[in-house]
Amino acid sequence: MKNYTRLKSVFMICALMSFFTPSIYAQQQTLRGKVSSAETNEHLAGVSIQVKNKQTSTKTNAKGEYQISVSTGDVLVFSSVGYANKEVKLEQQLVLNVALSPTRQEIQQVEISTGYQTINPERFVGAASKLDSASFHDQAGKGIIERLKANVTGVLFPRQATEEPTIRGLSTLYAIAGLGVHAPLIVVDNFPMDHRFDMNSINPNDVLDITVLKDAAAASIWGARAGNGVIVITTKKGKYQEKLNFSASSNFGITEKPDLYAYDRMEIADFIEVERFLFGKNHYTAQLNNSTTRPIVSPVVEVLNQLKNTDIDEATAEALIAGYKKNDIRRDLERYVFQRAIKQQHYIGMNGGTDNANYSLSFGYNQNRSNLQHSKASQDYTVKANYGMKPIKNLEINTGLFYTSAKSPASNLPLFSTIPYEALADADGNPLATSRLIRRSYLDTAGNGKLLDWQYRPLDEMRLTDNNTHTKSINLNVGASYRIFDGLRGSIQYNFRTQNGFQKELRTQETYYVRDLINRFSVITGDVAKSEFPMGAYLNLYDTETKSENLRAQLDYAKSWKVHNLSAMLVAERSESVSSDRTNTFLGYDDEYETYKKDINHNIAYPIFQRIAGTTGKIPENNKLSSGNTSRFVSFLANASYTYKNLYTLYGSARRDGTNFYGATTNNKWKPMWSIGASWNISNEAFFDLSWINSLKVKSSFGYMGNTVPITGLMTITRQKIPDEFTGLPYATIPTPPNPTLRWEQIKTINTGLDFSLLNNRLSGTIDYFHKQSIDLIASMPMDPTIGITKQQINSASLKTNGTELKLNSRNLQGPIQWNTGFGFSYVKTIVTKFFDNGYRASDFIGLGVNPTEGQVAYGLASYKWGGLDPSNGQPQGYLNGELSKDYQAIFNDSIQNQNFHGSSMPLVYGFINNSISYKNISLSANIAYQLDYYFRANTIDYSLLYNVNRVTHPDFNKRWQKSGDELTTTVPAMAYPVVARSDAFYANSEVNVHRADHIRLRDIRLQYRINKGSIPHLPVQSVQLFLNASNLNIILWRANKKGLDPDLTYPSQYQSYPSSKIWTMGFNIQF
Amino acid sequence: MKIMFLIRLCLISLAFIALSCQDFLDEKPAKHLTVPNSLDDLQAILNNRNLYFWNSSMPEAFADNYYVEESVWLAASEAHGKFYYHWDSKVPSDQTWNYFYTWIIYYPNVVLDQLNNFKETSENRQQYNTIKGEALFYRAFAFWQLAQLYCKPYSETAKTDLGIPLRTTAAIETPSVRATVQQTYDQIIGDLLLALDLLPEESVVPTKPNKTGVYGLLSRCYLSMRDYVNAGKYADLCLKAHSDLIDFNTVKTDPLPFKRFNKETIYYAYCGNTVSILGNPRGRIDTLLYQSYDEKDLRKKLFFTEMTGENVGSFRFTGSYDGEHNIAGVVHSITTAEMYLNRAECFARDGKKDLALADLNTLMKNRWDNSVPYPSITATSAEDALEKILVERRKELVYRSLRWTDLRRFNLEGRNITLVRNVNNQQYLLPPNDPRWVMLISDEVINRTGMPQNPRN
Repeated sequence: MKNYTRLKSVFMICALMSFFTPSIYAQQQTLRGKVSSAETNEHLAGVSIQVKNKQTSTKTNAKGEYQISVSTGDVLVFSSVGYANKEVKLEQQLVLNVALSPTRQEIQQVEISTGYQTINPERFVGAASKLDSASFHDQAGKGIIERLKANVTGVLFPRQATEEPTIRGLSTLYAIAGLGVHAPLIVVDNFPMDHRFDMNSINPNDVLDITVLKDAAAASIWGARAGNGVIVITTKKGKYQEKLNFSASSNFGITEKPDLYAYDRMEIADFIEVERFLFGKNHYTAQLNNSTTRPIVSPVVEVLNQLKNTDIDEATAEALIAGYKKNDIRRDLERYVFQRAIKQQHYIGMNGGTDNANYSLSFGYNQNRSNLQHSKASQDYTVKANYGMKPIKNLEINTGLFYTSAKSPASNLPLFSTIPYEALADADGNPLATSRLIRRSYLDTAGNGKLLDWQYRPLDEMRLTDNNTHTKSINLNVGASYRIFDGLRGSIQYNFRTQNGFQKELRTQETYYVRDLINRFSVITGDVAKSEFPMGAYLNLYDTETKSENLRAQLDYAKSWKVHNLSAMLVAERSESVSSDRTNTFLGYDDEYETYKKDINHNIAYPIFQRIAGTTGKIPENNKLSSGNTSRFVSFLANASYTYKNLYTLYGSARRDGTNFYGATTNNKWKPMWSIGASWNISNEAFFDLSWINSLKVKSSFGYMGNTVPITGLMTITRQKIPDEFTGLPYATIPTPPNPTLRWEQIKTINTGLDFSLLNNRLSGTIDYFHKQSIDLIASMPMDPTIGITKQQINSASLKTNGTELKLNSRNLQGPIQWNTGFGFSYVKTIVTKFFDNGYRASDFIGLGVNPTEGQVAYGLASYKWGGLDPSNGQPQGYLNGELSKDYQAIFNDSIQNQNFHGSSMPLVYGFINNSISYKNISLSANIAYQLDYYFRANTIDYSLLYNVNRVTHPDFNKRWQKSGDELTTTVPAMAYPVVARSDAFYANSEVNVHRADHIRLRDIRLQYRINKGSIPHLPVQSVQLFLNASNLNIILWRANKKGLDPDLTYPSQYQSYPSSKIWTMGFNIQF
Repeated sequence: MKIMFLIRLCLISLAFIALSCQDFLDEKPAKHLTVPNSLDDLQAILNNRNLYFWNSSMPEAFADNYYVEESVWLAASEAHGKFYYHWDSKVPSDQTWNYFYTWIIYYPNVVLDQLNNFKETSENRQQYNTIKGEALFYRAFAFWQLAQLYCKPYSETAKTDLGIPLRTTAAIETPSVRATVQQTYDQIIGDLLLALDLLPEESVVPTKPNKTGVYGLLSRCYLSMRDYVNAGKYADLCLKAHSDLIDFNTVKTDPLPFKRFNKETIYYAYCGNTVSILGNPRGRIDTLLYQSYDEKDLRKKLFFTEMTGENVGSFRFTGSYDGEHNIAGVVHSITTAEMYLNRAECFARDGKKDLALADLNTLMKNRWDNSVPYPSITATSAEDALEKILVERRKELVYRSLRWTDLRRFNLEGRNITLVRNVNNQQYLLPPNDPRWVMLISDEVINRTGMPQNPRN
């Protein structure tokens, strides 16, 4: 903490300075004038007039007139849709008439928001991409972050939809799902929103735009949390002196049923024949003779066993088996489980402002019917209100409030058996029992009818699921800013977020879960079964609470004089985020009267019925109290930017953070993150005389960002809340071994870029080149287990990333038919430059996501060298010491250098091509994404799973080696019995299953019809927009692999995970 | 100007608030997370079930108390430990080794390291000593079990034979180096003798060692070293403190008749690290072993259950001294019965025939059906008594992880026992003193440490 003292003093001095500095006021005067079109001389209404770098703004009235309060030296910016912006520097005049030149599509000079300030793009030296309001709202129906996909450069979404995007490649290696560690920092209306808050609590209709901060000059201001990039979300607010606007929008989306056939699967008949073959080998003896835990036996094996015991004759058996061969669980899933999901979003909003106040208010209602039958629809209500005012001179107060109430049911997708031919329903649609944990033939007779029905029927479970969560979120912003003297503003901002979730999970006595527990704890005496587990429902109540508070004090200075422009900022802030949760369990619950059974002893070990799952068991409960996790940050930051003659800009920033994760030692070791940058507006130079170049700017930046990994270097133990089951003694575990050397991760970034606009602004774009070095990365390092730990998180790795980004906007056709193209190109290559080598084997590279070979690409894909199939028995062969070998374990153990290294498993090149064509009021656009230069591993057979887990495997089964000579035409190994140990793992990870993943995909199409008052004067509203979006089309236009595989579908799935389905959304937006 | 003054005042005071809290960053990230700061915390670490739960049933998997049907063996997967059945122990990562070192050795080492941060005072001496004694005991027990698997049995060549890495600190920097067999046993016995002075006479639960448990483990350890004088001495000390036997006539016939913490159990050690090939329903009791029990020997009924269906005539083990678990039920507990057998064996080897037979008969009387008179076991000589004791030793200590250690020491004494397995359409033999009597260390450990591997041929 001591090291803060110096920064603290700096801040104090600045604060005190503000107190003693005498106030200087420039002379205020009122300026009037008219705005007209330079082409037609018509008066222009609704032209926005803004005093540059000040909050003052106004708009022209219907006659094109305006008046605004200004001071000498102010710069007025006139802007209107369809016209080029015009800037006028004021002298002492009182009247100013302005003519604006029309442009079909001016390059949007949008301000860059960093969450601390908004920066004029002319003076911005960093790299940032913005998804503007129009492009954002064109993707109605999608999630907020998802809309960045294939629309901005440098943002890559992983294959799994649930994962967070990465910005400009990998910066950290520490990845734990759900912790948001490798995810970008998300900032909503100036304040970070950590991963514990639900992004869905923000209504996408309330969002104005999204900015992605990519390099040090842009993101380093977020210091130790900026390492993975920053996504800044800004919501809509009212403006001063703006007339009251109303808008309404509605959309309706249909998501198709999941494509159950997307993953290839072997034929049911083949699967059954394998079962028959295994039965002949007495493979199921152990299961069939198990008279304690009674593991699952598949229906076909059950029939074959009955035939063997001569309980049935051969004709009956064959008829039964033939019946099973006709079943296919996918058919039943389509019919009884899935449905089209339907999503609706309705929204009304208003905003406006007077001279001294502005306001906005919106209401949203979203409803979502899931793709599972018998599921309740989720419903969200959102309210958002903003109010800003200037109660006295120089003082401005801003308040904002979001409130979201969301009711969402948990998924009611039951667990399905892995046996692919167990029907879910009979011919009349009545639910049928399928295998779950215990053999079905045993469950039929267990207890001779004295127990509750013990079968598991997935379709009944779907219907009985009663598990709903009600989440309420509040987000409050309060801020006051005071103009201390000309150019200097002081402000205080406070943000409070809270999210309360209340989940009620009711499992009635009809559910398998409760029936199973009642039966397990039953004892039959005579004719009566009595269970220690109470009859009635099992109720779990979960409460979660997440809260964050942020307090920020900020001084902003902005001053322009003569040819100079200076702006600077000094901020101190502290934040805290706390989450906690509680769970209560009630047994024997009656939902009608809210009664439940008390005095249940959860510590007695009761006998389990026929020892079906152990000898004794305790009655389960789920009571839990967790005061949760607290994360705290204290940060100091400052930046300054100086521009000379609108030509040269210099920028610098510094930030220092402290957190409670690491302990004071680590906080003190950490150096401040800082950045510097510069830009040069070449086209503003007097000598610049190329008429075909409208603007040209070069920029460059250098700096550091950090990454906070929430692990501690201290030796800690965890005291467990529940005593040890056997002894009843309280105990502790050791989650983290001591690691006094733990440091924060640092990311050094260099960015050089060029912004340009050519040919009368018909072609504009940005090129960026960047280089990143991530050092002191915390990686999970496999250790010698003899030490006592198998893995240790240590600062052991370094990465080096090079990349190029290109964004182009082109207006190909102008006139009655307009054709615009947006093109994005990103190249990112991350190389591992340092990784602690601790005796890695080839198999470590096959399994790990991040390839820890120095000098190789991170997330590399390696495979075993392929030596063909052994002609004598069809077993796969690899290479060991340069010779053919079937000693798979020795190959796994070999150095990776002797095996294959293909390249990256993440696209090194990716981007998009967006085309939009419009004619009159109709426009059609299409979004095409491409991903190039990477590899994937195709799914294939796995005999071990097929034999031992009753899992249906890949149709490569049909291509398997069956006789000598087949090795010339196939690479699929023979079906050996028993499975040759590790041959499955060798084959699946051999080079023959690795393919190029490059592909081009048509994602979305949008058709839009727009009318406005300009074209139809009698229209009762300002404008109406109707649209139809087709998203997630997933039409592969080109792919590198010859097998026709979709490289994004390489994970084997067992009915539970499917590729994202096509969504058809239609809707309207009205501006009143 | 007055308002402005106030506003500036507010601004500055808020700036103070933002900066003044020195303690703001000292908040623990989570309440349950704590740096061990009391002896209770250290005791809580030793209360973790990992310390008594993750003992290994590997010695039983290698031994000859059970067999597996050919078809069952073929159907089993590598995860069931099928290759251990014919003593193939070449694996990339070895759960047995890893569980010992990451739980039963690491946790005590953390405790012993952390103990240095606490001052021993007259108030805390008893707790301090108990913690230290427990830590030493758990670690010594793990070292001993590892020595039975990864080292040659203790013999004249112990000073040069490869031992195990003797990790006595939790410090990550310390490299793992294999000691000699002599050093390994010296460490075990040294630790146990230290623990003997520190531990109390009684412990709260049988999962916590006490003095009696230390005697028992010392006896077991010396027996494995074929130091029969000391083995007998400590068995005697152990039995003097705790000699209860369960009269099997009082045990109800039940699928799993024995209770978890029964009165014969001096120290309770469960083999949670189960090799499932030897458990129900795969492993069956060796037919000759089953037949060797007299019909009036209650163990025949209480230890084994006949299988059903087409497997009538085969038996599985259900006499676990754990009681609860019905998968394999292998325990490594130290029991009074084992101590009687140890002491009897040592008496016999010392030529004290009558004392030896007295111990054996004390035990056997409790195993015999009391509806018929107990036929006392007699012997013609001390050697004859020894043979009879060893027969009963095997029959008493089924699925206790002790047979492997016994076989290894018997073969050093020229008993010439060859183990046989018939699977995979072939016969696997394990002749005396074959290198496979010593397990291989996993590739992972060898690769990461460079320690020498145990030889094969």
